[in-house]
Amino acid sequence: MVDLIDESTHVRSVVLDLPDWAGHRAGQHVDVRLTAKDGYQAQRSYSVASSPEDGQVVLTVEVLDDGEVSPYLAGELQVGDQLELRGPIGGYFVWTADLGGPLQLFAGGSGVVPFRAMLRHRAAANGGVPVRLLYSARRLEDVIYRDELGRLAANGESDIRFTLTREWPDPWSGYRRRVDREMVEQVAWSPDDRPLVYVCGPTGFVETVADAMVELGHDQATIRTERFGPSGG
Amino acid sequence: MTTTAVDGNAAAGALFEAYGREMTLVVATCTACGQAGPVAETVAYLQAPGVVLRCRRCDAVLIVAVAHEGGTVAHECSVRLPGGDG
Repeated sequence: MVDLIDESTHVRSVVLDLPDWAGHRAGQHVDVRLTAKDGYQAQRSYSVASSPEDGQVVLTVEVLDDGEVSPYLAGELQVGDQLELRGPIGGYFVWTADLGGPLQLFAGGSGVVPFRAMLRHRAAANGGVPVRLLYSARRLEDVIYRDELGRLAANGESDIRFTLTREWPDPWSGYRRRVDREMVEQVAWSPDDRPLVYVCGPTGFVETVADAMVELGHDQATIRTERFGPSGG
Repeated sequence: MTTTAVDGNAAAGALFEAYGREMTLVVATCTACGQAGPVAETVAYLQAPGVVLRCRRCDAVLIVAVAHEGGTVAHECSVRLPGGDG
């Protein structure tokens, strides 16, 4: 581990230097395994937050109070410590530039992590593919990669919209509620644009969005989901 | 800790250990109800002792992958996998 970055109040990025890393595709995971002195093992799967072109591998970890792995990764782990990882893994929730677009991304909470890898990969591939992202968070302080996403939105590179579900700054021009079908319809590409759709977040968020997209006429086969449950550990 | 369901893609690591290859894009057919789709789209429970994959349509147990000292072993229940794995 070579660096630790605070992303929001409960979220930290762990920057890893992996000399033998074979490279990954945007959206893939790694499994992190921790072994206690008594041999007890705990393992969790984390999305890679960095793009294949970034050089270093970054994991963004939401610290869960009752978690077994996240408090260690984002709290006790020190720069210079070693971690046991396996990956990259997963071939399903993956986007590579050659798949084209347009891209339609829906993120709930830390579900934005694989999308940072996709957005950076897209930028490294000289942009081109139009992208829309709807990102749902409880409050502005919980928005991960706020500066980076803000820059992408401000320079017109990407269409990024936010919805905050609990607290709103004043003024606030984004949405102020949980995602629903009307919101999905307003932000999403039309089925005629044949977007590639990726939805990542807690189960309820993913199901609301995926069901709305199917009702709006999107082909189920173009919708890829990644549910991480209310807690990831 | 509550048991929560995630997607089959979150079980990619355990399945890789058991099968020695990337399994999430493999089409799994539920022998209970006939639902067929990528392993990534099944319902995964990771917090059981071992990984349990269930059919998203009928909830039948498809695969249970359990870690032993020598590695992870997948027990195939109501599932048919291509290539003679089932």
